Parts: sequence; C-alpha cells; structure tokens
Amino acid sequence: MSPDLAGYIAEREQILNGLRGVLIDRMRLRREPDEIDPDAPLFGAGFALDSLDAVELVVCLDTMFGVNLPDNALLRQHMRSLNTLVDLVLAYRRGHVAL
Amino acid sequence: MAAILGYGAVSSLGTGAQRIWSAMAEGWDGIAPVRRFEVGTFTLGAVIPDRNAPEHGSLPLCIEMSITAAREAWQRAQLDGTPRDRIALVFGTSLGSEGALVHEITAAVADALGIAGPRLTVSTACASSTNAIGMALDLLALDAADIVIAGGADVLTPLVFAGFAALGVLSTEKCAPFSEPPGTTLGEGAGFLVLGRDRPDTLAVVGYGLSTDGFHDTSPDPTGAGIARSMRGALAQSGVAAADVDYINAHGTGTRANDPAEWRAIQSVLGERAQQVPVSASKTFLGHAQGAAGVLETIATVIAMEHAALPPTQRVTTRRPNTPPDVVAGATARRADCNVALKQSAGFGGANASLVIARGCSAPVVTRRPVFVAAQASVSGDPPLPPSIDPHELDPSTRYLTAAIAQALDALGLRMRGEARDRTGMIVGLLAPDRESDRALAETIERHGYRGLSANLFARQVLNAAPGTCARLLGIRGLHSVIAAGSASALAAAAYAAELLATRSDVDALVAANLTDDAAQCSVLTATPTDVCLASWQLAGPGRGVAPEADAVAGDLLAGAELIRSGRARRVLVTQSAAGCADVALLLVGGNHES
Amino acid sequence: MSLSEQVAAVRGSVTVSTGEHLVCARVAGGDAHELLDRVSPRQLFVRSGQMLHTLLLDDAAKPLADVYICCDEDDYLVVAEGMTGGELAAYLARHAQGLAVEIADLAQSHAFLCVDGPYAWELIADITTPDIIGVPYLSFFRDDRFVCFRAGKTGEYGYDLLLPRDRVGATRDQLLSTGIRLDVRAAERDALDLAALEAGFFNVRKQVRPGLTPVELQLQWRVSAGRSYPGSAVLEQHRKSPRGRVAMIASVRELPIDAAIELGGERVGSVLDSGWSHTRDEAIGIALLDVAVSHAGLRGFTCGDIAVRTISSPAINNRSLYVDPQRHSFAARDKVDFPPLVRPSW
Repeated sequence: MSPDLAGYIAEREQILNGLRGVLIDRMRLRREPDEIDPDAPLFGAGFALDSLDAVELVVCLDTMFGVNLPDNALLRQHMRSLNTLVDLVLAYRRGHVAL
Repeated sequence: MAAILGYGAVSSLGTGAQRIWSAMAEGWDGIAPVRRFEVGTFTLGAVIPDRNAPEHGSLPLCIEMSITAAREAWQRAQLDGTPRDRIALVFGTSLGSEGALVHEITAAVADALGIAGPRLTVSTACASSTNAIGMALDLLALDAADIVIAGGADVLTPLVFAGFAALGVLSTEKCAPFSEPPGTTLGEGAGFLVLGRDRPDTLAVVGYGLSTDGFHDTSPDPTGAGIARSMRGALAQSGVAAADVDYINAHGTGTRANDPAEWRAIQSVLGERAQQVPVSASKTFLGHAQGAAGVLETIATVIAMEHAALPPTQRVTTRRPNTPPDVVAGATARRADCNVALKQSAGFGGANASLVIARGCSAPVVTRRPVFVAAQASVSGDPPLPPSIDPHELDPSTRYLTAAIAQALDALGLRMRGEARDRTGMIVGLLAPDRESDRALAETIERHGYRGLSANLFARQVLNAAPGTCARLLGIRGLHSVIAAGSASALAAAAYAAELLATRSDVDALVAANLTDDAAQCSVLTATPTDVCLASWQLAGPGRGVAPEADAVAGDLLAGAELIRSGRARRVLVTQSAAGCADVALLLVGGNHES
Repeated sequence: MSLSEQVAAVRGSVTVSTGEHLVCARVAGGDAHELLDRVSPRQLFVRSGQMLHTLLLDDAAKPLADVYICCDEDDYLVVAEGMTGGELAAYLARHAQGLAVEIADLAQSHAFLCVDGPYAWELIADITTPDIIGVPYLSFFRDDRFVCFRAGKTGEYGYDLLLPRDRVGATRDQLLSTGIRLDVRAAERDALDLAALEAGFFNVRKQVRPGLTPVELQLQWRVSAGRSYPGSAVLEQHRKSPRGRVAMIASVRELPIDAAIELGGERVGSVLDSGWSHTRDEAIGIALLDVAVSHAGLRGFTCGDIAVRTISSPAINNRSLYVDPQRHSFAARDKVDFPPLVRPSW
C-alpha cells in the first residue's frame, strides 16, 4: 500500500473512531465500537437515531472536529452514515467546504 | 364549572394583567433581545422587564412574580373574609426554580399569601397551568375549598434557553405562528385566576379536558389525535357543543411540528366550522411562557372577551400551509363578540390540556359514579419489564413507572387496545425529574457548556418526562397529569384520579401512580365494582384535615387495600399529611359497596 | 418504460410494483414470542404495530432472508425476502421444537404490492386517510383491505401492502389511477433493486456468498451481541476475525459479478453486485474487500481494465429527506428548493 493511501486510511479511521465514541457516549448507543459499521444507516433504519440525536450530532461535529456549518442542507446530506460524516469532516479540513 | 372572580399576571408585557390588554389593544409585544445571560445564535426572548433573574429582591424570581400576580388576582376578586383554610392554591410549573422542588415553590407562594387550604402543584411541562386551572373545578366540586387560586409560573433561564435551542425549535426572529419563519420564542411569567362557585354574568371555566399523545417525547402527534381528545373532553364536560365554540386560543408555539398538528385537531373537533372559527396565538405577544403559558393566554382570552374582542396573532406575513384560515391576523385585538372560547395547551411528553371559557353557560349536572380499586403493583430494585420494551433505553424513573403500571394492567387483564387506549389514563405523584438523567445532563453541561447540552437529556428535565414515555410505551392515551404534594403526592394523585373517574364521561380506568427515585407504586381505579371500594376522598390544608371514621388506618393505598382483602378491616382510612402541601384522606370500604 | 425512467420515478414521484419477492408468515400461539426470540439475531424489542428489521441466518451465519418481524398484538407477522413462503414456514417450524405455536404460510393466499417514492405517503393517504402521515417508519397499520407496512428499501418513503391475492389486480389498478395526479409509474423489480443499490440497502437475493456473515456485510446493526440464535457462534468468530468487509464502489462501466478486484497488482477482493446508477450516471456496486483497504474514498482499484473507486453509502441524496408530509405535497413540489440528488464529491 502506498504511504499516501495508508495516511488517508489512518485519517479516516481516526475520525471514524471519534464518531463511534460520540454514538456510544453521547447518543447512548449500546454497541461496542467494532459493531458500528461505517456504512450502517444512522437515521430511520440502522441505529434509528432521531431528530434530537441529529441536533446532538451537529453539536459534536462542532466541538470534536470544529465543523461549524451554517448550511443545514449540506449537513443533512452527510448525516447518513459514519462514512458520509467522515467525508464531510475531511472536506472541511481540506477547505473544500465554503463557510 | 368555576366562575372567574379575578386574575393577575406578571409577564414580558409588564406587571399587571392590564398590560396584556394594553399590548393587544395597542399592538405591541414583549419580545426583545435577551440581555440577562449570554445567548448564541438565537437572541430573542420574552422576559419580565425590570426584573433580575434568578433573584428579584431577596426571593427567587419564580416565587416573587407568583406572589405579585396572585395578589393582583386576589385584589380583583375582592374576597377578603374568606376563611383561609377554604382557599386552595393550584400551581402549574414546568421547571420551577433552581434549587427547589416544585412543591416547595407552591408552599412558599401559599405561605406569603396566607393560603391555608390544599396547596397542589401540577407539572406537565407547557400544559401545566392550563391543567392547574382545570383542577380548580375538581377541588370546588369536591368541596375541598370554596375559592381556588390556580395558575402557574416559569422563568427563562440559560438552561431552558439552551435546551430549546438544542431541540431545534427556536426561531431566529420573533415567533410567527401560522406564518414564517417557523420556530418559537421562549418567555417567562406568572399568572393566576381566582375561581369560585357559579356566579351569574361572570365568565367561567365551564369544563376542561386532559390527554396524552403517546407519540414522541418532544414532538406532538402529527395527526393531532391527542389534542383532539383533550378538546373533546373539555367540551363534553362543559356540555358545550363544538358548534357553539366562537374562538380558539391555540397553543400556537409557531414550531414546525405544533401548528399543523393543532390545526388537524381543530378540524377534527369542529368539522366544517373549522373553516370559520377564528384561532389565534397569544405567544406572539407573550412569548412562550412555558408552564405559565396556559394561564397567561387564558387571561389574555378572558380580558379580550370582557372587552368584546379576540386576541390577535401578530406578525402574520406569509401564511404557512395547513393552518386555520382565520388566525385573527393583525397587531391588535379584533372587536368581536365571544361567548364561548376554547383554550388549548400542550407540553413535552405529549401532555395536552384544554379549557372551555364561557359566559352564561351552565355545565351539565354530574351524577357521580362509584370508584373501585382494581389491580395494584409496587416495584423497586430491578423490576421486569414487558419483553417488548428495551430497559436500557429508559432512565430509572421511566423503568419503575412502566414496570409498575404494566404489572398492574397485566394483573387486571386490561389490554391497551382500541378504545381502551383513549379511555385509560394516569395521574402520577412525583416530586422531581429522574435523578440519573439530571446528573447526566449536569455532566454534559460541565464538559461541553450550554452549547453542548444534550437535547435528549434536557427533555428529561420536565417532571412529565417519565410519565409521558411510560404512556407512549404502554399505549395509555387518556387523561394524564403529574401532581406534586410533598409526602402526600401518592394520595393526592389517587384523590385526583378518583375525582376524575367519578365525575367524567371520557374515562373508564385511571392509574393512580407514585414515583420516587427508587420505586414506583400504582393502583388502577375503575368504575367496575371490585371488592375494594374507594368510597370517599378529601383534600384539606396541611394540618387541617378532618378524617372520616374507620376501623383501621394505613399509610398507602396498597397497604389499605390489603387490609380489606385479607379481611382484617372493613373501613380503612388511608391518610397522609404533608407539611406545606395538603392533608389527604381516602376511605376504602370492603365488600361490593356502592355508597 | 425504460429502467432509467422507472428509477427516476422512484426518486422523484412514486412507483407501484408487485412484491413477488416478499412472503409473509403468521406466528400465533402462546409461545409465539419465544419462537421469534429463538430465531431473531436481534433483541426482540418490538411493540404491537412495530416492525423489527433483522435477518434469518443459517448455522454458518449466512443470511437466508432479509426479514421484518412485526408484532401484531399477541401474534407476529414475519415479512421475508430471500425465501419462498414454504421455506420461511419450514425454517420457523424447525426452530419451534416443544413450543405451542401455529405457523401459517400466508404466501398461499396473500401477496404484496409496493409503493415507493418521495410522494408514496401521499398516494397511500389518498387511498386510506390523511392520518397515515402519523405512522412512523417501521410500523404498520390495518385497513379493511390490506395490512400496510411502512418500510421500503430505496431510501424514499416506502409502503408494502399485504393483501389477498385475488385483490392485488384491482388494488394495483386503483393505485395507478389514483396516482395519476402524482405522476405514478409502474416499476419492475429490477428498477427497485437498482434504487436499493443506490440507497445502500442490502439485497439478500444478490449479495450473499458462502462464508459471508453480517460482519462482512456491514449488517451488524441487524444483530445484537450476546444473544444465542442460529449461527451466533460462527458470527462471534467472524467478529473477532472478519473475512473482509463490503464497500460501495463506483466505476464508469458495470462490472462482471464475482470478478476480482485488485489494488497495486494484488487481489484485494471481488464484485458482489453491480448495476447502473441512473441517478449518478455511472456504475455502482458492492465489493467484498480486505478489511485493510475497505474504506470509502479510495482510488486506484481495478477490475480487469476498469478503474474502480470506493464511495460512502448511501450513493444518493434522497429527496424524501426533504419532503415533510405536513408541508410538502406533490402539487407544491416546485416551491421547494430541493438539493441535488447526488452529494458533492470533493
């Protein structure tokens, strides 16, 4: 594996694990971290988070990763699975997302 | 029915109920940028002018403004000379005051006013003071008092503000129910009505209704079914037909979820007429005064009716779809005769309360029916829950309450199916929110500040959190209330439940429950005869109770019923005297007794 | 009508399709809960009127069926995909030793109709009552004509109607005519499968292979730890050492099923499922990859001479997320500023 690839994967894992922690500690999801699949749906199906959890998640994105987006639509699109959330955090870090 | 003999208010519009009329007549509101504490994205609130919270003078603001409002109401009523122990206080509050249990606030207010009759607290979030006013009718019918001062108060604190913000229900502008943008504006205030027996030519609260949605912990049932049940209950008790309603004062918070649900309910209850009956939202000038919203908006309605006018909905610009056609849009009150008004309130946990306010109406004569104790249950430790419910999703209070009620209903073979769900209810005696949830909330605030507060945990702060969740899990959607009366809470809940069951046509069974941090007990009361008859019940001021004769005495309903079932006694007095609150006495009589 | 038009209807208005891929069994009797508890890999916390989305596994923890266990007062309805009615009844019976239950295979007498799309709720409301907007996801209700399950696998509003076989034709006609004002389209199973693939929903008919368990298939949310059920021991082993993990992939052309996927000249996995996403205008699919490289956002994979990259699931930004039945009817859709159906890729 190329170092670039390894570096990218490591960054994704770091964010993934942070988010798993949020689900377990803040959203009281009663799962072990390794049971929380990156593509599992967060809302509706999957972990069945509700609208209250959505608001919490937005706050956590801010406090943990500094992601502070006024654009609700962009947020909602990315709150589908942990993977889509990781995509958002990475894009924010790389400055791809306009404030 | 209860005549409205006086009213008093302290609100964001100023001190005195007259300020509410001025705002409606002149077209202004009490909403302004919040200066009392740091705010984030949302900056507006409806706070009492010239008051410093949390203290004003030497008293917590909640108590000080309650005393001021109640004194004004009493002065208007001109009833000096009424024996002090024949005056009751029913106080509705959502979150009370920091550092005090809700019943302690009620006691403090009653003491300052010299009230020596029963002092009861109702806490069903934003439906509290509406329920409190309704309860006055029951206290009068029960002859527990001759005059009832009923209403409530709540304060705008950083916690409540952050909680509502976290729930995503605040508006960035002054709230605009039925219009744009969606969202509500938090406020505070205190209001009281002085209620007494029928007096001709006086506006009266002719009847009231209660229900619970059983849908979600913070969002209303979008079909409005719960609200409709509460409205219908109020109309039925009043003997007023839906066709005779002239005006509806809505809960009207302006949030996305509330307004359409409320409109659906109005259509369901009024039918075709819903297209013509004016509906307005007084939160547009009062803000959302939380537990005090019901009484303040009732006062707005009463004052308007006295001036032959209807309260307006201010700031109506772009109409939202699925809202009433006539929302009395405008800055000022509209001149219109109104003889029958319906007041609606709703709160977290799905609690609904409705009042019918009318002039020249007489409620139907009530034939009391006998009340019996059916099944009972007591749980603590690690009680089993029905297999369909995940215990880990629930905080301890909710687990205990749900386990106890599920057990009792199961023992009775009472299935929550079809109509039974709407005609079974619960009255819960409770002093404080769940201890574990409370601690967890404090932790999130400590770690993340108010901005990082947990919306889920904030929602557990209202006393109605556990009862509301329990009602949802078990499908119990009928009459619903939460009462605090110190150490007499359990019996006060039972007495209230008994009075409702004896006098209302919209209920078949009521669970009278009591919940503490580590345990829950409940008794299912029904109109169907069993071997334990709840023959009589009474409430009096603390230390003022006169108990009926009995063979034996017990401290709680379960012990009392057991004495009868085991044949050790035939008339058992179950009594409790709670300092600062009330003396409650219930008489249990054995053998299929009807008297 | 082309598959692309049918998928567009799933994404933009509403479709009606026959649910021949679904079967249903009723489990009644005093031990009904006990039986479902034995076979369900997931904790059976489901109240009357609610549906639990889980799987039926074989002893090697391989998914045999994608199921909804539905609590219906004292009975249960099991709605399954991936088995015939007879297979479902036999599976349940096999695990019912010593239990007082009656298992009825409803596939003999009943069939399903499926309604999917951002305005599916409106079509269902038109043929029942407006109050169905209060029916939450994964719950069901009865009407005198059918049982209506609110589920769906396309990521849009979805309702599956269970009704007597002799009424399917008439009800389908009613839906298609009532739905004219909603731009309803009749859709084939292939179109719904493509929509499900875009939405990242597991397809038991296409994505199962020997040796794959819910661990590899990213279906652990359908399973509860610490339970005993068919395949539980094997699943626990796989949790400790997974044989790989699925990921969603994208490429310019559809890929051959079971073809090898390579990274840097080494084989790292294979194609489980592939199809053309009309919404994204590229091919998407599900690949089983070595755990070390099973991450979204990676480029450089190849399948034969086709470049493949991994993407996050779901692959589309469902319109239904932005449709609130309280406020957004089909007629008013032009007044809503919907975001694009595909998330930005950075």
